[in-house]
Amino acid sequence: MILKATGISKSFGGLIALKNVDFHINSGEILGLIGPNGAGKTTIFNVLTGIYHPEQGNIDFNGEDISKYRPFEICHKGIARTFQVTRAFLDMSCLENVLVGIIGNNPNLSPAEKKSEAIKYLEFVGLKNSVDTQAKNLTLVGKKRLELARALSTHPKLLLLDEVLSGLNTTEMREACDLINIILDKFGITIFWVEHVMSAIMEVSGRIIVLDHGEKIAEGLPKDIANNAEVIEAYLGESDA
Amino acid sequence: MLKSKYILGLFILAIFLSFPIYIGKYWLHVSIISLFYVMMASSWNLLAGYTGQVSFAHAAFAGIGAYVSGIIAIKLNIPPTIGLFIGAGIASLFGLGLGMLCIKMGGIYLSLTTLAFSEIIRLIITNEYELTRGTMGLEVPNLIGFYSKTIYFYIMIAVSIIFLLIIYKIIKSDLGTSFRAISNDELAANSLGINVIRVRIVAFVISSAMAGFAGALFGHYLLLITPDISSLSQMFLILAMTIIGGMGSFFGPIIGAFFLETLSEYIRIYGEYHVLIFGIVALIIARFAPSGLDGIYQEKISPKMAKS
Amino acid sequence: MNSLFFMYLTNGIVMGIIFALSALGVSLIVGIMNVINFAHGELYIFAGYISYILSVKLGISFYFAIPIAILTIFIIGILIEESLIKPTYGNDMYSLIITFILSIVLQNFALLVFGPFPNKPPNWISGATNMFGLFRYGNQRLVSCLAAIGIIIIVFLLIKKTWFGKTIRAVSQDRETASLMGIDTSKVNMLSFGLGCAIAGAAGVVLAPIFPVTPLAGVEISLIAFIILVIGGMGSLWGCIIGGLIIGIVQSFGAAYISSGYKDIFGFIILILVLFIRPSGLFGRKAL
Repeated sequence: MILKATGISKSFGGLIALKNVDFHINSGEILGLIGPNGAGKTTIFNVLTGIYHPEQGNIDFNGEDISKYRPFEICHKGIARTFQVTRAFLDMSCLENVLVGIIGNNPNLSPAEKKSEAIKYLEFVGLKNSVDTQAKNLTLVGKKRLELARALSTHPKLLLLDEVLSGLNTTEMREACDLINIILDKFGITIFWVEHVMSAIMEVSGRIIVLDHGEKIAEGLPKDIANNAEVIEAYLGESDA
Repeated sequence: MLKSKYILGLFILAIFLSFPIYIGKYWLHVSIISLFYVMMASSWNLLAGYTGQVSFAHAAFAGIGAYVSGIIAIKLNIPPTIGLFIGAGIASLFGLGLGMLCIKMGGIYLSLTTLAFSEIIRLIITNEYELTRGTMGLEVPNLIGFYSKTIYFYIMIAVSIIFLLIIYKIIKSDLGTSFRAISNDELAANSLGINVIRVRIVAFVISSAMAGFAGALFGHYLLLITPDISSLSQMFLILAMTIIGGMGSFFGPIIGAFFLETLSEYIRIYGEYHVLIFGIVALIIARFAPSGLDGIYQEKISPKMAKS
Repeated sequence: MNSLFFMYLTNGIVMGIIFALSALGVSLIVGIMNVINFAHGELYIFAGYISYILSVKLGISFYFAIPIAILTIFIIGILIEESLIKPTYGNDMYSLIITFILSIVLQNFALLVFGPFPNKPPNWISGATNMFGLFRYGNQRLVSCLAAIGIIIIVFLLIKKTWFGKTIRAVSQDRETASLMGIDTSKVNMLSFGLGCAIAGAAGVVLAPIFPVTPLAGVEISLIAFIILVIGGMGSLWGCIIGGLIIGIVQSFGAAYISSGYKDIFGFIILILVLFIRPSGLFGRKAL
């Protein structure tokens, strides 16, 4: 087990975003997180990465409670993420974007080592030809790839992916899914994944948890989740299910 | 291409270094003031342009440096050459304290708190008459013991070059990359392992130290320092120079400082209204060409020259 | 407890209410648009100048001069928003820089047009009132204070009770959702910036008879407004009132018992204390 969250609660003003959520992530798995809009999926990511601190509960990551840490400290512990709405450093080149992750985690490398390391990750995500391109000139897919390279450059043990497939066409989705599998196999990075595209997450994830109105309503293998009555009911309330 | 730029740079420097030979005392004075503003605008740009923290206390830090160095020279007989460093040190300590106080809250809080701080420094300087002679101004000793505009001009050039080299090194270093990442997207930088608050405070301390040093150096040239050095109109000039030259660009503040200071000499005949003219120019540039004169050059002129 | 104590207290409360009114417009704009209007104090003095010109130079009764002055500032505010602020949306630092430059331009414009000397519209009322048999207090100050309270109440009602208020509260809470629900957010921005400026204008006309306007008088108004903003919490209207009263009372006693040269420093000391203890202000940073 790489991460174990117990009794996580978080509210904004009077609005309860997460209510007593328990879950764990096994080392070396791809865990999927699904749920209708506003179920609290991104809030879980924000709590795991220290952007919000949970009001109750604790988060055990490799034997250490990280629930009070700040984002950069959590990154140093080995959790990296991508954002639902991409947050590339738009006025900087792709190379510089990835360098930020290396500077933040491996400041003692020589400049040449940093650069070759950054290029290695850009190549891995398929941005080899865009090393000096300004991030603002990338397409949406390009920005998503860049965020992935940036997250990998921090040497995470656990990678959180927030709706990486949204806005992609079928071919691009296929490529992204392959990339996710390679990240697990080649780098041995555990993946926790929020996704709206049901077919993809069902296929790629080893295990899935389902969130609705801030509560965990189901957990299990993809095929069990697909037949779970409570999950189906939660999704029926949503138009695009 | 790079080599020709290098040669052009050396050429400009050579012309500049020979100024005392053929320009009169008056324009030498204007050049010295311009160099003071190069230091102030460039160090403010390091903070505002590169890390996105718009501080209004930069002139106040210059005031702290100038008065500290001046007062210890008078009261404690400490030579101004050492006083410069003590002034810069005290300014950077104030920068550290102020930074720790308001940087965590970020953006607007920093701007408002530094603005209030700047007014307070001005008030203290004006009110502590025993120590500062208030609005009468404090007479301070000369830096080198005798008065020579030519020597002072060379000192100002040397210090400006050192400042610019330090700033250039910083913006090309990992620290500079972190600066830009934070001003692009603070949350993303934080999530990538950058200690945002620490990096911002480092930027704040470096730029306050530079302002303190520049202020002290300028004070020992003027020989009379008044609360004006830390006033908001001084702050406005620094900001206007950076905006007009180009915020977030290395050369922007240098261009802006010389442009505005020279312009100010030509429109001096219009008396107090020259600030109004500066303001309108700055407003038009900020509105229609936010990357300033340097930006206009990079976008419009440089590509055309590359083509031909 | 002597009568002087009560005089300082009364003066502190009156000044506090006046400060609260001065800060209200900036706070409103920050709450809705996340834009700091540095030119706030200059709009305040412009309203003072307009009411001065209308009543002294043109001999118009102040019943007409006041609404004309406020309306003019409202329109100027909308023009500023449309021409200068709109292109900066989403970049808080740039709007701040632009309004700062604007404030310098307006100060120097006032200097050019009105000269450096203080100008003062006539008092609405003369004489002084005996307060509880303890001391005499100027009637104009009392009337200005009552007018300030009146304006604050009107602004509160406007925001809490009217349809327009509901709309701008929705935008200040969640701009994206509000725009999905069909609210024209750029129109809301325009009107709320205008409204914020109009409140500055209202403060200007109410206070000009007590504090004659000079080209630089706006700086102090802006500074106090900003201190109140940080103390009370950005965008919090109650924070403005409480922050204003704290600054007014502390300044009044500080000037009387400690040092009048340093009366402006007390606000800053409170600002530092608040940043230490409750960095987001007494009422927190919040939507309206």
